[in-house]
Amino acid sequence: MTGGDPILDIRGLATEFHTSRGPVRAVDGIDLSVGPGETVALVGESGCGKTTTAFSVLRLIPRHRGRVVAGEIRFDRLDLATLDERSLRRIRGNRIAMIFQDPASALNPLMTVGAQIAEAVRLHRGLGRAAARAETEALLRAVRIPEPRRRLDEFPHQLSGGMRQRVMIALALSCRPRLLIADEPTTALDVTVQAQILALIEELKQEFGMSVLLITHDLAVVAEVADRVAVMYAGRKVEEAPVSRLFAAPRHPYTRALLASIPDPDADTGGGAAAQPLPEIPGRVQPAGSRIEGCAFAERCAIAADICRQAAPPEALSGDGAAVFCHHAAPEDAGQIAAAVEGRL
Amino acid sequence: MNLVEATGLVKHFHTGHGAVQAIDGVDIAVREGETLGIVGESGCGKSTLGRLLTGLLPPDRGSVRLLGEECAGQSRRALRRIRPLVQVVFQNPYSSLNPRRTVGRTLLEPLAVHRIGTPRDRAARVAAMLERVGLSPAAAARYPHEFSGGQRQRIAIARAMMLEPRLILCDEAVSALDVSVQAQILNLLAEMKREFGLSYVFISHDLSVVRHIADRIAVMYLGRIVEVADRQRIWSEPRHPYTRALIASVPRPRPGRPKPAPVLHDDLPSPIDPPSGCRFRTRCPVATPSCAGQAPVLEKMGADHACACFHA
Ligand SMILES: Nc1ncnc2c1ncn2[C@@H]1O[C@H](COP(=O)(O)OP(=O)(O)OP(=O)(O)O)[C@@H](O)[C@H]1O
Ligand SMILES: Nc1ncnc2c1ncn2[C@@H]1O[C@H](COP(=O)(O)OP(=O)(O)OP(=O)(O)O)[C@@H](O)[C@H]1O
Ligand SMILES: [Mg+2]
Ligand SMILES: [Mg+2]
Repeated sequence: MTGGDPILDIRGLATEFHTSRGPVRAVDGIDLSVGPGETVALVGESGCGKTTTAFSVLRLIPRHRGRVVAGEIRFDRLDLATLDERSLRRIRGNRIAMIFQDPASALNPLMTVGAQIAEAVRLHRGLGRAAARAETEALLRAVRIPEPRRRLDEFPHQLSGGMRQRVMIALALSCRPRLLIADEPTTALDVTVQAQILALIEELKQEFGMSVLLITHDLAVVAEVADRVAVMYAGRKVEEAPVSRLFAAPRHPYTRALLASIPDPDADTGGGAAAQPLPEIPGRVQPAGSRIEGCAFAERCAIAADICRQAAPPEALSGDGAAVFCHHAAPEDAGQIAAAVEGRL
Repeated sequence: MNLVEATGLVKHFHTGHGAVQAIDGVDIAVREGETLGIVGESGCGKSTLGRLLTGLLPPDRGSVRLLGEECAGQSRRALRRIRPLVQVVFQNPYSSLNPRRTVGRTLLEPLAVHRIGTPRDRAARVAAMLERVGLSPAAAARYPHEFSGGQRQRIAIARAMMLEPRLILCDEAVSALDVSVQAQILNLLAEMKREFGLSYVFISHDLSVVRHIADRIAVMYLGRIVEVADRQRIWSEPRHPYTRALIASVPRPRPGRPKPAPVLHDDLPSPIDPPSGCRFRTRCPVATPSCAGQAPVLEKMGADHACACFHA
């Protein structure tokens, strides 16, 4: 899976929005890398800065809304953080493609599905009109849209949600990107369609040798498709690990609590008895832009001590690129932390 | 005891393209003190069934007995007597709470409308209910936009509880919430049920959530119930091929497990022109020509388990 230099390497990314209360830091010093052929998941609760991170990579935040204030975004020996707009435009939707959280915002309601994809194909691959149409039909077939030729002439509103999402994927893949950034690609879909779309992304990944940055808050989806996971909390990365390790031995108290709070559909509860209450994380995230001296999770953490409110936790690295930011996460001490958190949750 | 008993329910919506067969022949009961989960793909009729079962929508045909009283064909006035006993919590608490009203006024209103208690009583009840759902009584003076999504859902639950209902319809009530907030609201609903002996009709497209909270689960496909069983059994011994496919599609929080190939291809057929016979047959892996003839009916498969399939 992983091997060779990363395709995307983000170092110390910080992004701010301009608001009436002054600048609000939505992403606050994130490191993240995606290797060739790798699927990295970026998870965390609503508002923690996942979409902002993705938008920062492609510099999609309008200048009047906000800006990247620090960090490097290495892609193919270029620094996207400082690259000029013209060169950026050649990368966007070409070598890096994005599936947006809100498909309505990415598809033009006034253009047929076929015309939109054909336009992208002609722009990025320099194909003629007839070749572009043939390629478009092939793409719709690749994303398993039934009767692709007929669908070419339909408008987005004539398609079901699942089919619209598949059109978005076709559009994203029309340029054979090296990196696909997929922001909640299946959140609005039925589980049946979700399973189809995830299998499709996996297949196309193999076929085109693509890397994927998957943004989602659905941990079960992460378990199904990711190789590596980065967990964000309030604009910061709190933990990163290979997917199996993260689920088997989460080291940050937040990751642990998050994993505990998802209902497990296969839990054996015995003869129809009502399920146990789910472990809760008390309180809630502070609003973006709050000044935090120490660990952002300290106020809600079951094992926080004075130090956690005073100093930002240092990064504790262990093998295979795993990292955790917690004053109480000793390197290979997963078991102890687990016991401590469970004892107090 | 059954709180709700529905038989032969039919509800079609007439549109420019033809009649949408949203509900087409459903029999189901909601038992006293139970949570009945309803699952199925988008557009299969979950919300429509929920509204029929709670008397919010009149059926075209069939009967809904709510607390022993027939709802179908009842006058508005008669329904108003039942109404307070049945409440609803929707997915988007923001659009269902009046943005220009303080939370306190929103919670007081049902008491005032039904002339329950003195004004002082009412204020006390509002404060107590806010506390019960985990908010400060001071929240009464604030407006919905000042609260987070999870807090707004607590307010919506408090409002639903003001008239001491027997049944609450939760239609995608936790679907818009983050997992950690979702856990808080699911726990609150479970506590309320235990404390007040409530019943829920709990609709969600998230099977893991329904599996967690429901006592019994009904699986719908294109306007019909294809299988119903207790939460444990439907998961461990699903009999309908559609239930099996649905359960297999649920992502599991277990990395590295062998991945099943997606079992269901294509989209749902149109509810305006559904397949003859068994409606699932066009996507069914075990369908035979005979499935196109008669529609299968729900047959008992053992205690608390029924399934509508010729090949179950
Ligand atoms: N245009 C904007 N102006 C001001 N603040 C913004 C803007 N866009 C986002 N934010 C804030 O930045 C923070 C991060 O938002 P972002 O959309 O990146 O979160 P997210 O992790 O993608 O959440 P979700 O899971 O809800 O999509 C939030 O607090 C949000 O309110
Ligand atoms: N007022 C209406 N007019 C016309 N068609 C309607 C109306 N209400 C519902 N429908 C149609 O009836 C069918 C069932 O709708 P319903 O909302 O009950 O589905 P659902 O299972 O709740 O779907 P979802 O999971 O998307 O909420 C759908 O095809 C829907 O488009
Ligand atoms: Mg987002
Ligand atoms: Mg619905």
